[in-house]
Amino acid sequence: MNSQFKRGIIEMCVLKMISREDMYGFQLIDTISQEVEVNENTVYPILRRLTKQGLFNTYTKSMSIGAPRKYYSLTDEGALKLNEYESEWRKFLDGVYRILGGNEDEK
Amino acid sequence: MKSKYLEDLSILLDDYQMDAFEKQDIISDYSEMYDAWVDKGLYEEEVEKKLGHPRSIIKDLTEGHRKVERPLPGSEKVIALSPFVATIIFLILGFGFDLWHPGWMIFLIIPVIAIIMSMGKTKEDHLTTALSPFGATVIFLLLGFMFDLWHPGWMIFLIIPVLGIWNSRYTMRKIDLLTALSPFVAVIAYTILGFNGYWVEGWVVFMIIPMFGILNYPNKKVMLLWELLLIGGVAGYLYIGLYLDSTWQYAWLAFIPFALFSLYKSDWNIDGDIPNGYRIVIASSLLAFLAVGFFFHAWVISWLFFLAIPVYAITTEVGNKEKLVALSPFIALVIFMLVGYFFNLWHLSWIAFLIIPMTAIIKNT
Repeated sequence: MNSQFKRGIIEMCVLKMISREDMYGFQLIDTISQEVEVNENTVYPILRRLTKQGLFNTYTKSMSIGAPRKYYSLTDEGALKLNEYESEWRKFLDGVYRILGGNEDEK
Repeated sequence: MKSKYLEDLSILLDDYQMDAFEKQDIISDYSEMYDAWVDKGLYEEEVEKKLGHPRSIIKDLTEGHRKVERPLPGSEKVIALSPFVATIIFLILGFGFDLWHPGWMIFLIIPVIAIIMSMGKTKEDHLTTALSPFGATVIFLLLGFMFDLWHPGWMIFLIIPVLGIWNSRYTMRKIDLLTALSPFVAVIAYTILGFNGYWVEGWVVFMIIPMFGILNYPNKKVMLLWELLLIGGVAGYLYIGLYLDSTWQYAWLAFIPFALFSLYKSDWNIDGDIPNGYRIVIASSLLAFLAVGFFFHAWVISWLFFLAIPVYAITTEVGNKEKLVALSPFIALVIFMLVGYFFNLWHLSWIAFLIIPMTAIIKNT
Protein backbone atom coordinates (compact mmCIF):
# COMPACT_ATOMS: atom_id res chain seq x y z
CA MET A 1 0.00 0.00 0.00
CA ASN A 2 1.23 3.49 -0.84
CA SER A 3 3.04 4.88 2.21
CA GLN A 4 1.43 8.33 2.09
CA PHE A 5 -2.03 6.77 1.93
CA LYS A 6 -1.20 4.47 4.84
CA ARG A 7 0.10 7.38 6.88
CA GLY A 8 -3.23 9.16 6.50
CA ILE A 9 -5.12 6.09 7.65
CA ILE A 10 -2.83 5.62 10.65
CA GLU A 11 -3.42 9.24 11.64
CA MET A 12 -7.15 8.63 11.63
CA CYS A 13 -6.71 5.43 13.65
CA VAL A 14 -4.56 7.24 16.22
CA LEU A 15 -7.17 9.98 16.60
CA LYS A 16 -9.96 7.45 16.92
CA MET A 17 -8.22 5.31 19.52
CA ILE A 18 -7.39 8.26 21.73
CA SER A 19 -10.92 9.63 21.33
CA ARG A 20 -12.18 6.46 23.03
CA GLU A 21 -9.75 6.65 25.94
CA ASP A 22 -6.63 8.54 26.92
CA MET A 23 -3.58 6.44 26.10
CA TYR A 24 0.14 6.51 26.66
CA GLY A 25 2.57 6.15 23.77
CA PHE A 26 3.54 2.50 24.09
CA GLN A 27 -0.07 1.46 24.70
CA LEU A 28 -1.20 3.20 21.51
CA ILE A 29 1.59 1.76 19.36
CA ASP A 30 1.14 -1.75 20.72
CA THR A 31 -2.65 -1.67 20.25
CA ILE A 32 -2.53 -0.25 16.72
CA SER A 33 0.10 -2.75 15.58
CA GLN A 34 -2.12 -5.61 16.74
CA GLU A 35 -5.03 -4.39 14.62
CA VAL A 36 -3.28 -2.97 11.58
CA GLU A 37 -0.17 -4.05 9.67
CA VAL A 38 2.04 -1.09 10.47
CA ASN A 39 5.69 -0.46 11.14
CA GLU A 40 5.69 0.43 14.83
CA ASN A 41 8.45 2.98 14.42
CA THR A 42 6.22 5.14 12.22
CA VAL A 43 3.48 5.62 14.81
CA TYR A 44 5.29 7.75 17.38
CA PRO A 45 6.36 10.46 14.86
CA ILE A 46 2.73 10.66 13.71
CA LEU A 47 1.57 10.94 17.31
CA ARG A 48 4.11 13.65 17.96
CA ARG A 49 3.17 15.63 14.88
CA LEU A 50 -0.52 15.53 15.68
CA THR A 51 0.26 16.70 19.22
CA LYS A 52 2.23 19.64 17.85
CA GLN A 53 -0.72 20.48 15.63
CA GLY A 54 -2.85 20.82 18.75
CA LEU A 55 -4.97 17.71 18.21
CA PHE A 56 -3.83 16.11 21.47
CA ASN A 57 -3.02 17.32 24.94
CA THR A 58 -0.55 15.49 27.11
CA TYR A 59 -0.34 14.99 30.84
CA THR A 60 1.76 12.90 33.14
CA LYS A 61 0.21 10.30 35.39
CA SER A 62 2.12 8.76 38.27
CA MET A 63 2.06 5.00 38.41
CA SER A 64 2.11 2.84 41.49
CA ILE A 65 4.91 0.82 39.89
CA GLY A 66 7.49 2.30 37.56
CA ALA A 67 8.13 5.73 36.13
CA PRO A 68 5.30 8.22 35.45
CA ARG A 69 3.67 7.87 32.05
CA LYS A 70 2.78 10.53 29.51
CA TYR A 71 -0.83 10.23 28.44
CA TYR A 72 -2.44 11.70 25.32
CA SER A 73 -5.98 13.07 25.30
CA LEU A 74 -8.00 14.40 22.39
CA THR A 75 -8.61 18.14 22.14
CA ASP A 76 -11.67 19.80 20.60
CA GLU A 77 -9.61 20.50 17.54
CA GLY A 78 -8.63 16.84 17.45
CA ALA A 79 -12.28 15.81 17.66
CA LEU A 80 -13.10 18.07 14.70
CA LYS A 81 -10.22 16.63 12.71
CA LEU A 82 -11.35 13.11 13.52
CA ASN A 83 -14.88 13.86 12.29
CA GLU A 84 -13.41 15.25 9.11
CA TYR A 85 -11.26 12.16 8.56
CA GLU A 86 -14.12 9.78 9.32
CA SER A 87 -16.46 11.57 6.96
CA GLU A 88 -13.91 11.52 4.11
CA TRP A 89 -13.07 7.90 4.80
CA ARG A 90 -16.72 6.78 4.76
CA LYS A 91 -17.37 8.64 1.50
CA PHE A 92 -14.26 7.06 0.02
CA LEU A 93 -15.26 3.57 1.16
CA ASP A 94 -18.82 4.03 -0.14
CA GLY A 95 -17.40 4.88 -3.53
CA VAL A 96 -15.05 1.88 -3.50
CA TYR A 97 -17.84 -0.51 -2.50
CA ARG A 98 -20.10 0.88 -5.19
CA ILE A 99 -17.39 0.18 -7.77
CA LEU A 100 -16.61 -3.27 -6.41
CA GLY A 101 -20.23 -4.23 -6.07
CA GLY A 102 -21.20 -2.21 -9.16
CA ASN A 103 -21.55 -5.17 -11.66
CA GLU A 104 -23.98 -7.02 -9.44
CA ASP A 105 -26.00 -3.89 -8.79
CA GLU A 106 -26.35 -3.22 -12.50
CA LYS A 107 -27.87 -6.66 -13.06
CA MET B 1 21.67 -0.93 24.72
CA LYS B 2 19.19 1.69 25.84
CA SER B 3 21.71 4.35 26.79
CA LYS B 4 23.51 4.01 23.43
CA TYR B 5 20.23 4.14 21.54
CA LEU B 6 19.13 7.31 23.33
CA GLU B 7 22.58 8.83 22.96
CA ASP B 8 22.57 8.18 19.20
CA LEU B 9 19.11 9.70 18.94
CA SER B 10 20.16 12.72 20.96
CA ILE B 11 23.24 13.31 18.78
CA LEU B 12 21.11 13.20 15.65
CA LEU B 13 18.56 15.58 17.16
CA ASP B 14 21.38 18.02 17.94
CA ASP B 15 21.85 18.48 14.19
CA TYR B 16 18.47 20.19 13.98
CA GLN B 17 17.24 23.60 15.07
CA MET B 18 14.96 22.41 17.83
CA ASP B 19 14.60 23.84 21.30
CA ALA B 20 16.10 21.89 24.13
CA PHE B 21 12.74 21.19 25.73
CA GLU B 22 11.39 19.50 22.61
CA LYS B 23 14.55 17.41 22.22
CA GLN B 24 14.38 16.32 25.82
CA ASP B 25 10.70 15.50 25.39
CA ILE B 26 11.46 13.21 22.45
CA ILE B 27 14.28 11.47 24.33
CA SER B 28 12.05 11.06 27.36
CA ASP B 29 9.25 9.56 25.22
CA TYR B 30 11.64 7.08 23.61
CA SER B 31 13.05 6.19 27.00
CA GLU B 32 9.54 5.47 28.24
CA MET B 33 8.68 3.37 25.16
CA TYR B 34 12.00 1.50 25.40
CA ASP B 35 11.29 0.54 29.02
CA ALA B 36 7.74 -0.47 28.16
CA TRP B 37 8.87 -2.87 25.43
CA VAL B 38 11.53 -4.34 27.70
CA ASP B 39 8.92 -4.81 30.44
CA LYS B 40 6.81 -6.63 27.88
CA GLY B 41 9.62 -9.18 27.57
CA LEU B 42 11.45 -8.11 24.42
CA TYR B 43 15.23 -8.20 24.08
CA GLU B 44 16.99 -4.89 23.52
CA GLU B 45 17.71 -5.69 19.85
CA GLU B 46 14.01 -6.39 19.31
CA VAL B 47 13.04 -3.18 21.08
CA GLU B 48 15.38 -1.15 18.90
CA LYS B 49 13.93 -2.80 15.82
CA LYS B 50 10.42 -1.85 16.99
CA LEU B 51 11.42 1.72 17.76
CA GLY B 52 13.44 2.04 14.59
CA HIS B 53 17.12 2.86 14.11
CA PRO B 54 17.66 6.53 15.06
CA ARG B 55 18.88 7.33 11.54
CA SER B 56 15.74 5.87 10.00
CA ILE B 57 13.33 7.79 12.25
CA ILE B 58 15.16 11.11 12.55
CA LYS B 59 13.64 12.54 9.38
CA ASP B 60 10.07 12.03 10.57
CA LEU B 61 10.87 13.29 14.07
CA THR B 62 12.44 16.50 12.77
CA GLU B 63 9.84 17.29 10.12
CA GLY B 64 9.58 21.05 9.83
CA HIS B 65 12.90 21.68 11.55
CA ARG B 66 15.94 22.98 9.73
CA LYS B 67 19.34 21.40 10.04
CA VAL B 68 21.93 23.30 12.05
CA GLU B 69 24.80 24.55 9.96
CA ARG B 70 27.83 23.86 12.01
CA PRO B 71 31.05 24.57 10.13
CA LEU B 72 34.39 23.95 11.74
CA PRO B 73 36.02 26.89 13.55
CA GLY B 74 37.88 29.25 11.25
CA SER B 75 36.32 27.54 8.23
CA GLU B 76 35.63 30.73 6.31
CA LYS B 77 39.28 31.75 6.41
CA VAL B 78 40.49 28.30 5.41
CA ILE B 79 38.04 28.16 2.50
CA ALA B 80 39.05 31.64 1.35
CA LEU B 81 42.74 30.79 1.56
CA SER B 82 42.53 27.43 -0.19
CA PRO B 83 42.75 28.78 -3.80
CA PHE B 84 45.94 30.66 -2.94
CA VAL B 85 47.47 27.67 -1.19
CA ALA B 86 46.56 25.47 -4.16
CA THR B 87 48.15 27.98 -6.57
CA ILE B 88 51.37 28.12 -4.53
CA ILE B 89 51.62 24.33 -4.39
CA PHE B 90 50.92 24.13 -8.14
CA LEU B 91 53.65 26.63 -8.92
CA ILE B 92 56.13 24.83 -6.66
CA LEU B 93 55.32 21.51 -8.35
CA GLY B 94 55.61 23.13 -11.77
CA PHE B 95 58.70 25.27 -11.42
CA GLY B 96 60.44 23.08 -8.89
CA PHE B 97 59.73 19.60 -10.26
CA ASP B 98 58.32 20.26 -13.74
CA LEU B 99 55.14 18.59 -12.57
CA TRP B 100 52.71 21.00 -14.25
CA HIS B 101 50.89 17.84 -15.15
CA PRO B 102 49.61 16.14 -13.06
CA GLY B 103 50.31 18.94 -10.59
CA TRP B 104 47.23 20.84 -11.80
CA MET B 105 45.14 18.28 -9.92
CA ILE B 106 46.05 20.10 -6.71
CA PHE B 107 43.30 22.59 -7.55
CA LEU B 108 40.77 19.86 -6.73
CA ILE B 109 41.54 20.45 -3.06
CA ILE B 110 39.64 23.75 -3.25
CA PRO B 111 36.15 22.25 -3.43
CA VAL B 112 37.23 19.40 -1.15
CA ILE B 113 38.34 21.82 1.59
CA ALA B 114 35.15 23.85 1.15
CA ILE B 115 33.02 20.73 1.64
CA ILE B 116 34.98 19.47 4.65
CA MET B 117 35.00 22.86 6.36
CA SER B 118 31.33 23.62 5.64
CA MET B 119 29.97 20.26 6.63
CA GLY B 120 32.18 20.36 9.65
CA LYS B 121 30.87 18.21 12.40
CA THR B 122 28.19 16.59 10.29
CA LYS B 123 27.69 12.87 10.34
CA GLU B 124 30.48 11.05 8.55
CA ASP B 125 28.23 9.38 5.96
CA HIS B 126 27.02 12.64 4.37
CA LEU B 127 30.58 13.89 4.19
CA THR B 128 31.75 10.85 2.25
CA THR B 129 28.80 11.21 -0.13
CA ALA B 130 29.73 14.83 -0.82
CA LEU B 131 33.42 14.07 -1.25
CA SER B 132 33.02 10.97 -3.39
CA PRO B 133 32.89 12.78 -6.79
CA PHE B 134 36.22 14.44 -6.11
CA GLY B 135 37.84 11.32 -4.77
CA ALA B 136 36.61 9.38 -7.77
CA THR B 137 37.91 12.06 -10.17
CA VAL B 138 41.38 12.06 -8.63
CA ILE B 139 41.65 8.27 -8.66
CA PHE B 140 40.34 8.14 -12.25
CA LEU B 141 42.87 10.71 -13.43
CA LEU B 142 45.74 8.96 -11.63
CA LEU B 143 44.74 5.58 -13.12
CA GLY B 144 44.50 7.17 -16.54
CA PHE B 145 47.63 9.30 -16.59
CA MET B 146 49.89 6.95 -14.70
CA PHE B 147 48.70 3.54 -15.94
CA ASP B 148 46.66 4.44 -19.05
CA LEU B 149 43.72 2.71 -17.40
CA TRP B 150 41.04 5.13 -18.63
CA HIS B 151 39.06 1.99 -19.25
CA PRO B 152 38.18 0.33 -16.95
CA GLY B 153 39.28 3.12 -14.62
CA TRP B 154 36.03 4.98 -15.33
CA MET B 155 34.31 2.43 -13.10
CA ILE B 156 35.61 4.34 -10.08
CA PHE B 157 32.83 6.85 -10.69
CA LEU B 158 30.33 4.18 -9.73
CA ILE B 159 31.47 4.75 -6.15
CA ILE B 160 29.39 7.95 -6.19
CA PRO B 161 25.93 6.42 -6.51
CA VAL B 162 27.01 3.37 -4.49
CA LEU B 163 28.11 5.54 -1.56
CA GLY B 164 24.96 7.63 -1.84
CA ILE B 165 22.81 4.51 -1.59
CA TRP B 166 24.95 2.93 1.13
CA ASN B 167 24.77 6.07 3.25
CA SER B 168 20.97 5.95 3.03
CA ARG B 169 20.86 2.35 4.25
CA TYR B 170 19.21 3.17 7.56
CA THR B 171 16.12 4.45 5.75
CA MET B 172 15.77 1.31 3.64
CA ARG B 173 14.86 -2.29 4.11
CA LYS B 174 17.81 -4.64 3.50
CA ILE B 175 16.18 -6.08 0.40
CA ASP B 176 15.66 -2.58 -1.01
CA LEU B 177 19.30 -1.78 -0.30
CA LEU B 178 20.47 -4.86 -2.18
CA THR B 179 18.09 -4.12 -5.06
CA ALA B 180 19.36 -0.53 -5.31
CA LEU B 181 23.01 -1.60 -5.26
CA SER B 182 22.61 -4.51 -7.65
CA PRO B 183 22.85 -2.54 -10.96
CA PHE B 184 26.19 -1.06 -9.95
CA VAL B 185 27.55 -4.36 -8.71
CA ALA B 186 26.44 -5.87 -12.04
CA VAL B 187 28.17 -3.17 -14.08
CA ILE B 188 31.44 -3.61 -12.17
CA ALA B 189 31.30 -7.40 -12.37
CA TYR B 190 30.45 -7.34 -16.09
CA THR B 191 33.26 -4.93 -16.90
CA ILE B 192 35.78 -7.05 -15.00
CA LEU B 193 34.54 -10.19 -16.74
CA GLY B 194 34.63 -8.42 -20.10
CA PHE B 195 38.13 -7.17 -19.46
CA ASN B 196 39.10 -10.80 -19.05
CA GLY B 197 37.43 -11.69 -22.33
CA TYR B 198 34.03 -12.80 -21.08
CA TRP B 199 31.79 -10.18 -22.72
CA VAL B 200 29.46 -12.75 -24.21
CA GLU B 201 29.11 -14.93 -21.12
CA GLY B 202 29.44 -12.16 -18.59
CA TRP B 203 26.32 -10.11 -19.29
CA VAL B 204 24.28 -12.63 -17.27
CA VAL B 205 25.55 -10.91 -14.13
CA PHE B 206 22.88 -8.29 -14.85
CA MET B 207 20.34 -10.95 -13.93
CA ILE B 208 21.11 -10.23 -10.27
CA ILE B 209 18.99 -7.10 -10.71
CA PRO B 210 15.72 -8.92 -11.41
CA MET B 211 16.83 -11.63 -8.97
CA PHE B 212 16.77 -9.13 -6.12
CA GLY B 213 13.70 -7.40 -7.49
CA ILE B 214 11.71 -10.65 -7.53
CA LEU B 215 12.46 -11.17 -3.83
CA ASN B 216 9.97 -8.36 -3.16
CA TYR B 217 7.10 -10.39 -4.58
CA PRO B 218 4.58 -11.02 -1.80
CA ASN B 219 3.57 -14.59 -2.74
CA LYS B 220 6.52 -16.71 -1.64
CA LYS B 221 5.68 -19.78 -3.77
CA VAL B 222 5.39 -17.68 -6.93
CA MET B 223 8.56 -15.81 -5.98
CA LEU B 224 10.46 -19.10 -5.58
CA LEU B 225 9.25 -20.40 -8.95
CA TRP B 226 10.17 -17.13 -10.61
CA GLU B 227 13.66 -17.19 -9.14
CA LEU B 228 14.14 -20.81 -10.18
CA LEU B 229 13.12 -19.97 -13.76
CA LEU B 230 15.59 -17.09 -13.81
CA ILE B 231 18.42 -19.16 -12.34
CA GLY B 232 17.52 -21.92 -14.78
CA GLY B 233 17.68 -19.41 -17.62
CA VAL B 234 21.14 -18.27 -16.56
CA ALA B 235 22.38 -21.83 -16.14
CA GLY B 236 20.83 -22.87 -19.45
CA TYR B 237 22.32 -19.87 -21.27
CA LEU B 238 25.81 -20.63 -19.98
CA TYR B 239 25.49 -24.36 -20.66
CA ILE B 240 24.24 -23.92 -24.24
CA GLY B 241 26.89 -21.34 -25.01
CA LEU B 242 29.86 -22.99 -23.34
CA TYR B 243 29.23 -26.67 -23.91
CA LEU B 244 27.15 -26.92 -27.07
CA ASP B 245 29.71 -25.87 -29.65
CA SER B 246 29.65 -22.16 -28.80
CA THR B 247 26.03 -21.68 -29.91
CA TRP B 248 25.66 -18.36 -28.14
CA GLN B 249 23.17 -17.04 -30.68
CA TYR B 250 20.67 -19.67 -29.47
CA ALA B 251 21.66 -19.63 -25.83
CA TRP B 252 19.16 -16.84 -25.03
CA LEU B 253 16.39 -19.39 -25.71
CA ALA B 254 17.06 -20.66 -22.18
CA PHE B 255 15.37 -17.51 -20.88
CA ILE B 256 12.07 -18.18 -22.67
CA PRO B 257 10.37 -19.89 -19.69
CA PHE B 258 11.39 -16.98 -17.44
CA ALA B 259 10.27 -14.40 -20.02
CA LEU B 260 6.89 -16.09 -20.55
CA PHE B 261 6.28 -16.39 -16.82
CA SER B 262 7.25 -12.75 -16.36
CA LEU B 263 4.75 -11.70 -19.05
CA TYR B 264 2.11 -13.82 -17.35
CA LYS B 265 2.89 -12.09 -14.05
CA SER B 266 3.16 -8.68 -15.70
CA ASP B 267 1.03 -7.00 -13.03
CA TRP B 268 3.89 -7.43 -10.57
CA ASN B 269 4.56 -4.36 -8.51
CA ILE B 270 2.42 -2.20 -10.70
CA ASP B 271 -0.58 -0.36 -9.25
CA GLY B 272 -2.72 -0.29 -12.35
CA ASP B 273 -1.86 -0.27 -16.03
CA ILE B 274 1.46 0.90 -17.41
CA PRO B 275 0.70 4.05 -19.42
CA ASN B 276 1.06 3.61 -23.15
CA GLY B 277 3.97 6.00 -23.31
CA TYR B 278 6.06 3.74 -21.08
CA ARG B 279 5.10 0.63 -23.03
CA ILE B 280 6.25 2.29 -26.25
CA VAL B 281 9.50 3.51 -24.73
CA ILE B 282 10.32 0.14 -23.15
CA ALA B 283 9.51 -1.80 -26.31
CA SER B 284 11.44 0.67 -28.51
CA SER B 285 14.46 0.58 -26.20
CA LEU B 286 14.52 -3.19 -26.27
CA LEU B 287 14.17 -3.32 -30.07
CA ALA B 288 16.85 -0.69 -30.58
CA PHE B 289 19.20 -2.46 -28.14
CA LEU B 290 18.79 -5.78 -29.93
CA ALA B 291 18.97 -4.26 -33.42
CA VAL B 292 22.14 -2.26 -32.80
CA GLY B 293 23.66 -5.19 -30.92
CA PHE B 294 22.93 -7.85 -33.52
CA PHE B 295 23.42 -5.80 -36.72
CA PHE B 296 26.34 -3.60 -35.68
CA HIS B 297 27.78 -5.77 -32.90
CA ALA B 298 27.90 -2.61 -30.83
CA TRP B 299 26.72 -4.14 -27.55
CA VAL B 300 29.18 -1.86 -25.73
CA ILE B 301 26.96 1.12 -26.48
CA SER B 302 23.63 -0.37 -27.49
CA TRP B 303 22.59 -0.72 -23.83
CA LEU B 304 22.42 3.09 -23.78
CA PHE B 305 18.99 2.79 -25.40
CA PHE B 306 17.63 1.55 -22.08
CA LEU B 307 18.38 4.94 -20.60
CA ALA B 308 15.39 6.18 -22.58
CA ILE B 309 13.18 4.58 -19.89
CA PRO B 310 14.33 6.65 -16.91
CA VAL B 311 14.72 9.71 -19.16
CA TYR B 312 11.10 9.35 -20.29
CA ALA B 313 10.00 8.88 -16.68
CA ILE B 314 11.82 12.07 -15.68
CA THR B 315 10.48 14.15 -18.57
CA THR B 316 6.89 13.12 -17.86
CA GLU B 317 6.83 12.96 -14.07
CA VAL B 318 9.40 15.37 -12.72
CA GLY B 319 8.59 19.05 -12.35
CA ASN B 320 10.18 21.50 -14.76
CA LYS B 321 12.40 22.98 -12.07
CA GLU B 322 14.07 19.68 -11.26
CA LYS B 323 14.02 18.17 -14.74
CA LEU B 324 17.39 19.39 -15.95
CA VAL B 325 19.23 18.34 -12.79
CA ALA B 326 17.57 14.93 -12.88
CA LEU B 327 18.43 14.44 -16.56
CA SER B 328 22.03 15.62 -16.29
CA PRO B 329 23.56 12.27 -15.19
CA PHE B 330 21.98 10.52 -18.19
CA ILE B 331 23.08 13.23 -20.61
CA ALA B 332 26.60 13.06 -19.18
CA LEU B 333 26.68 9.27 -19.41
CA VAL B 334 25.57 9.24 -23.05
CA ILE B 335 28.14 11.87 -24.06
CA PHE B 336 30.85 10.00 -22.12
CA MET B 337 30.09 6.67 -23.78
CA LEU B 338 29.65 8.01 -27.33
CA VAL B 339 32.76 10.19 -27.31
CA GLY B 340 34.78 7.40 -25.72
CA TYR B 341 33.52 4.65 -28.01
CA PHE B 342 33.49 6.46 -31.39
CA PHE B 343 36.55 8.67 -30.92
CA ASN B 344 38.45 6.57 -28.39
CA LEU B 345 38.71 9.66 -26.22
CA TRP B 346 37.88 8.00 -22.87
CA HIS B 347 40.58 10.14 -21.22
CA LEU B 348 38.67 13.27 -22.23
CA SER B 349 35.09 12.10 -22.41
CA TRP B 350 34.85 11.76 -18.60
CA ILE B 351 34.73 15.57 -18.53
CA ALA B 352 31.10 15.20 -19.57
CA PHE B 353 30.29 14.19 -16.00
CA LEU B 354 31.10 17.72 -14.86
CA ILE B 355 27.73 18.63 -16.37
CA ILE B 356 26.13 17.08 -13.28
CA PRO B 357 27.53 19.37 -10.55
CA MET B 358 27.44 22.36 -12.91
CA THR B 359 23.74 21.87 -13.56
CA ALA B 360 23.07 21.48 -9.84
CA ILE B 361 24.99 24.69 -9.06
CA ILE B 362 23.20 26.68 -11.79
CA LYS B 363 19.85 25.43 -10.58
CA ASN B 364 20.53 26.15 -6.92
CA THR B 365 22.01 29.65 -7.25
